[in-house]
Amino acid sequence: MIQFNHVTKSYENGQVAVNNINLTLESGEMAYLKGHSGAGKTTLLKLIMMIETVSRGQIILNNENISRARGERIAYIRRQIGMIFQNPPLLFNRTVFENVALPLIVAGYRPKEIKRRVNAALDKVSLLHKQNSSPRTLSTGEQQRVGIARAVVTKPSILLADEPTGNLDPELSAEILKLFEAFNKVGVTVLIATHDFSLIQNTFHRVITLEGGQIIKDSHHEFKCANTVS
Amino acid sequence: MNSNVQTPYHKNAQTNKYSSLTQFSMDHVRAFLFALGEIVKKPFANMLTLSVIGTVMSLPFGFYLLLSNFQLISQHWHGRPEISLYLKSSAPQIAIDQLIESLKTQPAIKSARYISPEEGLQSFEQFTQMKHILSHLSHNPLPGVISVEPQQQLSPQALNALAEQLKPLGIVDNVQVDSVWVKRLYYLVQIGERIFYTLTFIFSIGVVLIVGNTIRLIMQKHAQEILVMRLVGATKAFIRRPFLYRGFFYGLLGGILAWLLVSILLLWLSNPLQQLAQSYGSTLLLKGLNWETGLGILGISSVLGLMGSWVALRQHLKAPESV
Repeated sequence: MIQFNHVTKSYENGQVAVNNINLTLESGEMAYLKGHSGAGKTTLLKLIMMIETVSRGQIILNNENISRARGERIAYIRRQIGMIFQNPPLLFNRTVFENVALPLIVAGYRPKEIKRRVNAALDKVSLLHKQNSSPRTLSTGEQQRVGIARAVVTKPSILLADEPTGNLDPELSAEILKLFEAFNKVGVTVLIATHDFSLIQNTFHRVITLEGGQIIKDSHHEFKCANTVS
Repeated sequence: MNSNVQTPYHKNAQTNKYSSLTQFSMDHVRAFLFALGEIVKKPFANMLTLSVIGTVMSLPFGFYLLLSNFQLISQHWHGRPEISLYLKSSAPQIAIDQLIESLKTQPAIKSARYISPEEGLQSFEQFTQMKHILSHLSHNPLPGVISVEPQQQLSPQALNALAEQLKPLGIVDNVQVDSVWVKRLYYLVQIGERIFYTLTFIFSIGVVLIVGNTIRLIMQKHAQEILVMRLVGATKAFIRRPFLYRGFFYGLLGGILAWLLVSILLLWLSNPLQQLAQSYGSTLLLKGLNWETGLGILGISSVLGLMGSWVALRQHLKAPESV
């Protein structure tokens, strides 16, 4: 569950990236965050990841007010979240397996369990055969999938994706979105930021539109209205 | 708000992890081995850092050894400072004996020895070869002397105080403290000690800065790794650990190198020093580093290495992530 209560993020130079946002994403919900670049999508995700701190308001994550979290607590909050970036920050001097295993090592899993989970995650993104390669030798689409495997390997309750299909052709993009839907089906809360409007024009999932750091449209409410009419 | 859904997906989330204590020790072992491995894997690059630390550390400790040897030498060669009580020529033998007995009972005095005028004359003749001059004198001009040896290495002030206390004794004519060289030696040693402390302080800061800078450069090289680890939920402690161990190893290995350097220096010096001692008619055994001092050096240098990496880490981990 992700909840934004009057969240504002402004920088020291006066720039306001996110302006008074109220938003609730229930557990197990999947939604798209739509908007042009600079609309505040990335900042919104970074606020959830605690890469940025809120200036005003509060963010509730799985019943915890994370805007107050300090120190090592931040690390434990991040373990509940899988984050996928447009250019996944991978370690090129490590193998694919080691890259995906990193969140598990950090969280203190047993070696046997690490092997089992990494294999399962790589299998899910169809990269099991590349587990001993360096990410350097992989294509962009494959690197993105390694990033996804790493994000889901700890089975987080929340999955955030920032332009996950930004560098991919439509076919690959559709494939990756299918992956997200599969995770959503097993109960993961998924929030995907994208500026690729064509990608989501036919989606039946919730679409939140951001502009100038504010929510200007939320299909959730329309959907509810439509339901009540019918 | 059902946040902790127990679908098959979420099952076994906790059971396959180590217990927190096991994880804690596992993390330490892993960081320890990792840090050691990083040093062993790149011996040349690390050797440079280590030799700098070793050289820097060897200076204050070499000086410390020289100083402690000097103190030892000064004790050996000069014995303890003496207070000479020149007696009145009219002093009867019984009074002298009584005085010696009473002096010996004083806690500050180790021994008191009477040197009669005849003995004094004899040794005077021996040392100065002025026999024939003295033979022209009608009587022995030397007074009887009680030579008092104080209990321990007293500071010049304490020695003077003791002399003052002995002055008003009835048969004593004059009290002379062997004080000039005592003062000189005392202050020389004190200057040496202070130079040692200053050197130690300055070079300790040097070691902290060297290790800190090295760790900072290493962290810059591993910036991407650190960033990724923080994003996937590594605690700062987890990230810090291998670097702290690395700083510790730099300090420890640098300390061992310093120990080696100082030992070589001592070996190199021992021969000419012994020759020098022989020319003074004395034998001298150079005091090397004993185990306690050696381990002390290693302990101090390890702590300094740890401090260095801590300083660098604080700086690095304070900055927010830039993704």
